[in-house]
Amino acid sequence: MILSLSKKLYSELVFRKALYWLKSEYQWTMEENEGEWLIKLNCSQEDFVNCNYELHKLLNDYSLREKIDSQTDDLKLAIIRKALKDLSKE
Amino acid sequence: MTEVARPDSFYVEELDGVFGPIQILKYRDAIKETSPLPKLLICESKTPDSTIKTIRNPLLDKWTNHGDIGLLNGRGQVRVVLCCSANANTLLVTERCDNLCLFCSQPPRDVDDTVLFAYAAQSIVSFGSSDVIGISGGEPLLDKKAILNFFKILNEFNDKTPLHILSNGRAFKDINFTENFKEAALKRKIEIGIPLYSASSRTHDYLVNSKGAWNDTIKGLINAGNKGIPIELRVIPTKANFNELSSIVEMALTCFNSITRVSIMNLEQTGWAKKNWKNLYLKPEFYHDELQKTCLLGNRFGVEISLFNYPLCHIPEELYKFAKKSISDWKNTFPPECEYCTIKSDCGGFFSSIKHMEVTPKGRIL
Amino acid sequence: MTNYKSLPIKFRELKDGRTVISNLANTYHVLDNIQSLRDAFELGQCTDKNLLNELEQKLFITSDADFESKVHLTTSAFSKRINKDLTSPRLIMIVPTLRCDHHCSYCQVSRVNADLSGFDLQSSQIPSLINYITKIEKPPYKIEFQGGEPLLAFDFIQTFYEQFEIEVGKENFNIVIATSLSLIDESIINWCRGKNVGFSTSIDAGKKAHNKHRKLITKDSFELVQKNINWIHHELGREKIGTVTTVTRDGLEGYDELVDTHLALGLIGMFVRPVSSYGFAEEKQAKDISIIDFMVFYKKLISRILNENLSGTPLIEHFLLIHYKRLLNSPSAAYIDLMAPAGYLKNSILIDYTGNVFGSDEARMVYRKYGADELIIGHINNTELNLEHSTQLLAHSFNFDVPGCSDCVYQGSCGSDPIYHLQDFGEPIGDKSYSRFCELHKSIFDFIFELIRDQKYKNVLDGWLND
Repeated sequence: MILSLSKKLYSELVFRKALYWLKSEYQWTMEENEGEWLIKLNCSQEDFVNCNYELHKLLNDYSLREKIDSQTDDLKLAIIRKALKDLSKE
Repeated sequence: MTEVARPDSFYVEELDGVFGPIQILKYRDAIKETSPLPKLLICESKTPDSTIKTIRNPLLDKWTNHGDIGLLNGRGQVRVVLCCSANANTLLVTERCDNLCLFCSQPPRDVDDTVLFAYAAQSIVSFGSSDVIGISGGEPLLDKKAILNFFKILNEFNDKTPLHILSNGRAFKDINFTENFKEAALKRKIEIGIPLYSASSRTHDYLVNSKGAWNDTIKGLINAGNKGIPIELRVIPTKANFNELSSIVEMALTCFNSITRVSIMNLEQTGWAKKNWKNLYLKPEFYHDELQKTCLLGNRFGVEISLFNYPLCHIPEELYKFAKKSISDWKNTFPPECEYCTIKSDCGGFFSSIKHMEVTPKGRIL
Repeated sequence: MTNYKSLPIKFRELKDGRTVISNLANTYHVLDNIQSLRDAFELGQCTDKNLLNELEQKLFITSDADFESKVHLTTSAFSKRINKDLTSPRLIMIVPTLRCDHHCSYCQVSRVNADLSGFDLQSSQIPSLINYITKIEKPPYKIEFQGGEPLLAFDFIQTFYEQFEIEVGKENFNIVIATSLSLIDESIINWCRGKNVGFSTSIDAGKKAHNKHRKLITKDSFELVQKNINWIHHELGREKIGTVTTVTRDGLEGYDELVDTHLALGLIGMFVRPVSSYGFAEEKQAKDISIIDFMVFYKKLISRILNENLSGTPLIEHFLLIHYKRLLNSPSAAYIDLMAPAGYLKNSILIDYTGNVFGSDEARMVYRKYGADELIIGHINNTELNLEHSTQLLAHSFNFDVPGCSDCVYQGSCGSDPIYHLQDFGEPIGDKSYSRFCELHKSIFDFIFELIRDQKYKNVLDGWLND
């Protein structure tokens, strides 16, 4: 069974982060074509429905993070770099 | 005027026309007579061949000790600025300041008073104390050359008197100055008392009446803390900032290094605080829970947190252990009702400047 | 304040629907729900003035005017937190013998029988040992004797004490002996009197679990350990004995018995954690108790402990307290297993019965089980240090740049455990979505936020901060 997700909706990082935390009982492999991310699942119909729900919950979580982080990512890296630089001076 | 614990100002006719600091002696002292300051011998009988200025003055004699330092204003008035029997000694090193705090107890004057630094250094060296001496102003670190020179003099005499300096911390935003200060100052035990009145600029800058003050003080606290300069963080609760008291302390203890202790200071009704009293002063009963939250932060961060200048009947009993008896004796007083209070000996009392002292004596004895 | 900028944040939805947020300064706040988060940080449409003030005070948002200073404050706090983990003093563990009189089924150190030879440090090696210790660390020294059963090598400990006292001075070190206490006797107790020597022992959750796992020929390990704890308590003082509880499947019903046992012994501290897969505690046993199972047990245990506190009986569970202290940036929260960068090597060192030096207790366990030479740092007989592998392990033990941890709300409070992940995944970072380490600590942090919602429980935990 195949789940497809539009690349317009989900970036690669969001997709991969969601897969990272997907429960291990769902056996999956990932593929892509030009416009979509594809997840091939080896499971029953019932499991497929549950997996779909869980995956979308995770995708939503990581999309939200991406939106919130987009404004502060550079700042975050700058803070970490400066802190480590200060520490290495001591 | 209400009676204070120790009067410190006297008129001495023989000293009319003399300026600056002198050291008071009660007998000839070969060691003390080698220190920088001119001497004044207070004695029962005048010894005609004495090489030191000798006077007879029972009142001055009563309230001074051998080795105390007095400051003469040229009109015969001597103020005892360093006293062996005082509960605290503080020297004024400048009246200039770059803040204009609404509650300033020593309103700034823009005068060239760098001579006060020299007076202070000589006084400290001559006094030779192992107890802490306070340095205040104005802003002691405003003139960076002057403060570094002050330490140069002390270091030349190899003086190790522990010092407590009150500062708004803005000078430490300059990292080079902070490094130089650390080199010069840390040859003795030292602590810098730096006030922070808010977690944001708008309230802090309002209270110290200077735009950009908060930014400078924050940078200063970071720099000084990183260099290992011991800092006493001070917060004065007022109507404007009482509700963020615990947040200020929490932020400071999370972000800054080298905080040795935190002092919550009750407002003193003197200087500019007098005219702004209604807008500033809030009775402690209105912020007991913030005081409580703040004191509990001590356990969390492993830092001593103290309440200064709070009479015990103004704070809840669980906070008594945090209250310190801290008012300098020369301005400390108790209203008459306190005579009957069972915990008077543990209480710090009031500033003599306060207009209206409300008290609730504990366990009234009839 | 209507216009504000956000600073970098992380978030996590709790089971009760509330959302925990944290930032690089490692301050935390709990929002009512995910919509509250979106309003404040994604859509910029939060109108709750009190909330905005709180978020500003805790360095989540800032006015334009204060932006630069708030960034400096955050950087300073972040630096301060890492520095705290970098500079905590080292625990020095010494394994004088691998021999043991017990046959514990989940022995983590792969012990050997008490009558074997070739598994002991010799007294003649003590000068080299002391020399090594004083070279790598400065006073005050925290020394812990592990084993096997250290009391089988009690003469070694005595000789070490005498020589170490001469070398560094009595006030400059303290010793803890980790032992089952089965071999405690009058002469040992008398020798310990007046010295900075204390004991740490294991009590499992309940007599059944304890005696099942901790096998003594006489089959009464539990009764014996209680008797001996009492003995030490009364002869040497309460502060000289501490307990550690490892929870296995057999102990899952033993939460009340565990508390009762401690109270009966007059102890006021406990330390409880689930079994892990080191040593003999093979796959089967370790997986026998899932973190979910453990948390069911643990919540019941804590509930009982908190209620004891509320009725006036002092009793602290230190595993929970460490996690609470980490959330609060408390400086006294130095716990080797929960640090980032990891406590491995920089905050702990272990000298094995062979004289080999390892970066942690777990490292020597893994070496003994799998024979990984690269985990040997050096030897007490020479000054050569083999740090290449260890440096790699440490470099991979920051949390902020690692998948799984980089988005986690507890990043600033949690730790990393390169040796655990090395054993279970073959490399120091591991897949956090499978990691028991991750699941355990995340569950405890979640649990704390659930607990402190109730002010009376928060007051109890705050009271423990004195410790």
